[in-house]
Amino acid sequence: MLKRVHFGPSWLPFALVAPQILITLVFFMWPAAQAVYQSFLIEDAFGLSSEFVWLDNFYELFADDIYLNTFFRTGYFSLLVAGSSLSIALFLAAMADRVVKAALVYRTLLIWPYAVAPVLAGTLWLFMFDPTLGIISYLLDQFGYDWNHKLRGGQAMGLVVMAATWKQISYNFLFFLAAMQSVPKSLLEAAAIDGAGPARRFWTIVFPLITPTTFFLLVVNIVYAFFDTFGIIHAVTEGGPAGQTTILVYKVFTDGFIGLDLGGSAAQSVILMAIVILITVVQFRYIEKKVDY
Amino acid sequence: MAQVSIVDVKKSYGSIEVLHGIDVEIAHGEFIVIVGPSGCGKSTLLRMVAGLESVTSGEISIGERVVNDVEPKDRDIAMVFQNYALYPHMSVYNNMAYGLKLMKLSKEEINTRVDKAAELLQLEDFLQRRPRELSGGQRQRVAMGRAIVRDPAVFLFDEPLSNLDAKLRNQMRIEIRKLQRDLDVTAIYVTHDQVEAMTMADRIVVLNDGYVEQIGTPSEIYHTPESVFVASFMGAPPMNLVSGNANGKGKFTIEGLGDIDIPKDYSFTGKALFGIRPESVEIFSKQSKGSYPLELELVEELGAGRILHTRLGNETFTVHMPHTDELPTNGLFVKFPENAIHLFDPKSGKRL
Repeated sequence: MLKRVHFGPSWLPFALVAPQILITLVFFMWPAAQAVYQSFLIEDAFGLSSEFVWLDNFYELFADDIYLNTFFRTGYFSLLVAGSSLSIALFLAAMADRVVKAALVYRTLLIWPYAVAPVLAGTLWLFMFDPTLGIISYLLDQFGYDWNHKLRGGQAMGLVVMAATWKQISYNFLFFLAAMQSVPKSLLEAAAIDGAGPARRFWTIVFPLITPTTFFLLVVNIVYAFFDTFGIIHAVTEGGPAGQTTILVYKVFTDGFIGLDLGGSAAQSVILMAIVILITVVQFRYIEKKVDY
Repeated sequence: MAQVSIVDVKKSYGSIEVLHGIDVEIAHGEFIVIVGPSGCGKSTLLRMVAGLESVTSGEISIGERVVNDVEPKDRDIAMVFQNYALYPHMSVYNNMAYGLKLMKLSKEEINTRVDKAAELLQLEDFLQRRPRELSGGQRQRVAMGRAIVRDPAVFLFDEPLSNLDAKLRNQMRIEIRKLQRDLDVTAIYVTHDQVEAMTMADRIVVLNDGYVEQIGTPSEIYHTPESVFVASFMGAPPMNLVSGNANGKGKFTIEGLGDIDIPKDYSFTGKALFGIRPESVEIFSKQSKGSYPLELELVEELGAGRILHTRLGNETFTVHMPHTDELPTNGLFVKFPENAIHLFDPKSGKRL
């Protein structure tokens, strides 16, 4: 703790943080407050009048089976995306960590997908799997497998999970690789002398030592799956078929902007906000403190 | 029985050769110290014995077996690293037991071995702690323990004491030496510290720039250095080296000073380096036959003695005198006992 006498009162620190505070207030706090306010209102179908209804919007949401199903679907979707992108990235990073020649080229290529915008990533996968045009659905058809994610919810879910996972692998890969490279080489050498083969060295030395990174990525990936996959879903399935790829954040959009139920949509936003706050608290309070060695 | 033999071992990284044909024969139970300045290849050589670096050419055998292509774990060795390389997420107990579990020993056997090592190293009270909760000396001990429990034929040490403070270093030096003797294992110990080399070694290998300069007991290395490098690297302060001319008839001429008597059996004539250890010179306060004047520049007080930084003719010259002797105040003269004189060829750096 620095003593107060080191710094006399000055306007400078306030001036320096002012832009950040201003941006936070205008672009984050204000809209959030608006959403909370809106969630207490019901508008008529033409948007001409609104009525203050307290928590009715929330009661209605939790009585709605469709909304509750969306909740479970989102959880399921996030676990699939976070789980598969983390494990694939971990595998790739573990392999890349061993590559010596042309390592830079290899790594750069693996990082590229991160630069692709979510909607483009979605479109890419959409083209490949298009039931009538797609090259992969054509190939699957050759094997006698009928792919049509426009009709089958399971396939649609599979497709958005794939696209979302593919997009996130690069990010995870980058963090995993950096974490692995910060594991001292002498530890691995000591383990090699102790008789551990490459796989065992990985699971008993490297993996435990990168736990902080893994936890951090787990949180980031869940948040990603909750929110940033909007573009992918919008481009690939538009939440369909029959709402089977609609996750919470997509439902906020469809109910609010397509269904024009602004109050209900705002209430969903508020619930999402609460979830983010919860995840953040968990991350700061428990995970960042618990990981130690 | 585990003797180690290193035969014409070379190591190259790409086109750069860093070890140019090393030959060392190590007997069972011997404590060998490889010493040399940074970048001389000593750690590389050790890591090649451990199997952590490939051998470019030549042969390394442990026991009767050539181990060039043997995995580190199958070489029957244990290594203590400079930074200890303890597994930070495991307790002291698990650090030591890690290798034993991989050997598929029974739980009881693992327990016995770890307990025995812990007792030997006075680590019983720390078995459940993590490495970060230990002091530097204790971590060092755990690293030793991890090596001991494996019951290896050869111990490898890679500058294990360089991260400790001076007092602890002296203490660990003795402990390591005792342990090695009690366990009756062969040990190869790499250091850049010539004091460690002198005090611990049965034999010293002096390495310079990828070449072996000399192999010998500490006494041989100290008293009959085979090259200028060894003479100046081993010993603190280092040997005085003064250039001049030898006439082959027992005289050595130093410019601006005159002739010095050297043993008559030096038949070499021409430019040479005259070497003498700082503690081997005799000091007088009065001029006499066969003595030479020194110009005193600085005195370093060591308590057990003094180091005089002086000039002999045009050259710097250090003298180490015991504290029992009075420091001459008016006039300082030295004699060079014939049996303490070394001559070196300035071109090859070799002993004459």
